[in-house]
Amino acid sequence: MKFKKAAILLAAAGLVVSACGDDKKEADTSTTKAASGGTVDCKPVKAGVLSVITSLPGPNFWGSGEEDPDKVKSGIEYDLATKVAEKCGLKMEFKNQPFDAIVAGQVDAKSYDIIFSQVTITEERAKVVDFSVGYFKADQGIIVKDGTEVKSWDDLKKMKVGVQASTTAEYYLTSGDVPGWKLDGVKTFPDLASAYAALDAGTIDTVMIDTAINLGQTKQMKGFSVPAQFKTGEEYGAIYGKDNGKKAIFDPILKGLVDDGTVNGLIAKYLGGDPSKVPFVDVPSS
Amino acid sequence: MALLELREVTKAFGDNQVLRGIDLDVEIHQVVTLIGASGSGKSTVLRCINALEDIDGGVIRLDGDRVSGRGVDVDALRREVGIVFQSYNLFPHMTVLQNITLAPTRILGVSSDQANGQALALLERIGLADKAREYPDRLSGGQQQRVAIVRALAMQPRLLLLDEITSALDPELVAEVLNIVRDLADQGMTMILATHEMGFAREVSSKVCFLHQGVIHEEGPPEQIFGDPQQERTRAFLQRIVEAGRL
Amino acid sequence: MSELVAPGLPAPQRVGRVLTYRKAAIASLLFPFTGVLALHRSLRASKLAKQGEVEAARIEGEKARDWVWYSVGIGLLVYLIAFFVLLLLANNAGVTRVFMSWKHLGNAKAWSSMLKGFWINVQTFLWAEAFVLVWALVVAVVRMLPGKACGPIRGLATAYVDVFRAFPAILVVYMIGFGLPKANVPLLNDLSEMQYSIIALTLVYGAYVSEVYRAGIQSIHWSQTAAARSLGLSNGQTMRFVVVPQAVRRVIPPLVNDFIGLQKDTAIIGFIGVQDAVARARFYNNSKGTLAGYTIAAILFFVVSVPLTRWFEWMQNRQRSRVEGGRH
Repeated sequence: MKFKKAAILLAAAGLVVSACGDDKKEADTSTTKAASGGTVDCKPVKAGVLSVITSLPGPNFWGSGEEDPDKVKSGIEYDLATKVAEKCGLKMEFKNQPFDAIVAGQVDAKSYDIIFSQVTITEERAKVVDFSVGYFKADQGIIVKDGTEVKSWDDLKKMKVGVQASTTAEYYLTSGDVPGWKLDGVKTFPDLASAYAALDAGTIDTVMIDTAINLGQTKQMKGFSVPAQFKTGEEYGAIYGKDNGKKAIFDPILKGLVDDGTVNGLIAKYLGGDPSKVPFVDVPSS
Repeated sequence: MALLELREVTKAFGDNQVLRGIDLDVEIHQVVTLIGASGSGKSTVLRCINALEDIDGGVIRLDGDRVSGRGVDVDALRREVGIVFQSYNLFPHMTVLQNITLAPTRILGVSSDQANGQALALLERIGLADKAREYPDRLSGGQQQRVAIVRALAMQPRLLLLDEITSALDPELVAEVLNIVRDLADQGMTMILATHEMGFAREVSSKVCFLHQGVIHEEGPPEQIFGDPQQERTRAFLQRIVEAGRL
Repeated sequence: MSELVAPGLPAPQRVGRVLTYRKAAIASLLFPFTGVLALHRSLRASKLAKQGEVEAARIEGEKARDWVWYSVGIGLLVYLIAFFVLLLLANNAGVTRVFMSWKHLGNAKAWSSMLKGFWINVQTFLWAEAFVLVWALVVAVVRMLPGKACGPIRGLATAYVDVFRAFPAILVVYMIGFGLPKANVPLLNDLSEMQYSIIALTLVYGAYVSEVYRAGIQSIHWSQTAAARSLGLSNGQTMRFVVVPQAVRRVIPPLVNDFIGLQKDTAIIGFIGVQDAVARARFYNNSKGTLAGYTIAAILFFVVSVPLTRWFEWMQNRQRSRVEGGRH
């Protein structure tokens, strides 16, 4: 009998506890202050608000060193989204969704206006989502201990390379679909923090990810630098629901912010380095 | 018409044909004792009567109404036919009182006050009222068996089956259980006993049936069976019982 | 008849058996600090035996044996602690730096963010556990319905158990979290991620726990069912009042086990976007370039899980001493 009582107590506790404040959509949301003077009618899915989705964590793109994801108020894409919202005369609100779902086009198009989540534009992905114009160059860079020389692809072949799961780097290096890029013994990590930790511990020699992200990491990891990057010609794009008309509305705004240097300014501000200054190393053609 | 009629009842467990055609009548207020070797089918007969086992052939009737075979409401049957087992089978997670009142409250809809009152009265009569709130495994074997009898009686059955109820008891505890059975017989409770207690059977039975190889080999009043058995097998069985010092 | 009675050991042998030389010797080799005491006592015991003081020798021998066990226990503990200390100091305190630096463990904001997330884990497992306890019992009882007529529904229940034990919980969470909204089932297509997680975890753990219940129910001797049915109780009443109460008491240890497992598995809900403790730990780690966030999350899980286990065991012991009378 005692056990039954305990079970009922627990269930009751859960009921009481959950009855207070279990909102419909539990994924976190944050809002910016209302902006005034918007010039474009952006037809948001939720009135007065630009509904943005991202996949946390996205260090330096969403947040700059906060402990609490609810307190994110800065970052490249955060600021970019806010500026887009301003042009629409809307507040910016963002929610968290898993990265896998985002790139598979599985996020309900009626629940957001635009997605910013450091997503690389690829043909495969474009089949299931609509991409915006590119706003960020996604060539792949490598981070190494100071003094390590990487002047050619052969130098890279001698190193133990780590990548993050579901990224361009992982795809290029492991799939064999991209001529010349295939490497053996590449280690995949579930998130960047683990990859960088492995680098710090010495179990891998380098991490390959978008050059700007690696540059940002050198601010945190003393004694490391980004000596080389490899051209993929790829870019980040924002995501819209397939064929729902948002592209026509938001692309001009986004393009404007790229052309007028806003985006570059944000990159400099949060990543503290200019990715275009990192030397390119050629990838063999096969 | 007898209260209980068994006609040509057969029952097999796999290859083992335990009952090969049982014919038995039990009149109201009668005390019928089944004796026989282990495996002769005594327990099986009792378990077929209250439908714990399905019979393969033949028919069982209670008050002229068929109670064996398909379509019978066995729960209703069991309200009228109580059974007490060799290993008492009290519910260990309930107190003595709860054991007794469970069925009356849940099946007969008796209020728990009334059920408790009746249970305590019954416990008084067997001298176990002070154990009402104890759990079964604080009681001795004899006490547990007496509670088991009371539990069956609480449903006020018309027929009580007693399946070797003293076989698992220490000898000094057997008497207190038999006393209750004797009282019940005096009060007119219709009972069928399967037992090895020949002396007791002789004292309390209206009719004794000797089971051998799945049939009732001989039946008759106790004076006949124990004093002057007609059949050879009956004599041989009783002879062995006497040698074992139990008669 | 006389062959049935064994000759027995000669008396000197009976004394010798308590001298436990060898065990003491091993103890003193592996666990020098206390093993020496064991060896010392066993030597004294043999000396006393040689002097003919049998009683004293036996007592010393038993003390020697006791000290062997103490040595093993204390010795293992000391070795374990030493191992961990070495681990933490190795590689220039690499493990400590990455997982346990005070900069992060002492960061109150980290804890407050993680606690917010952990609250979600707690709610999820409280709800899921309440549902699982009930749902699994339903499944177990259905699987045990008697008779040919119930064959199909028993089959359904068995299929459910097989299917949901086949998939890793995280895949089920994904499928439910993303599949249900798409299926457009009314009532089920607009729930929060946490609610989908609860459904998914209930389905997965319901399958495991129903097997635990089933084992418990089957372990209740048929004579209990026979007695209950013989009183006229229906199958359902028998289950409800006689079999299940006894069965549940019997399987409390594995139930607690599964409950603890469920608590941990709430960590996977981060994969469908819920910002629980582990997801927030990942955010913190990526934000600050460390792995200490995981340590904080781990501590939170530990702090809840261990007292709960102890509490359940305590309650069960009380239960047992009440029902089983003089046995304890």
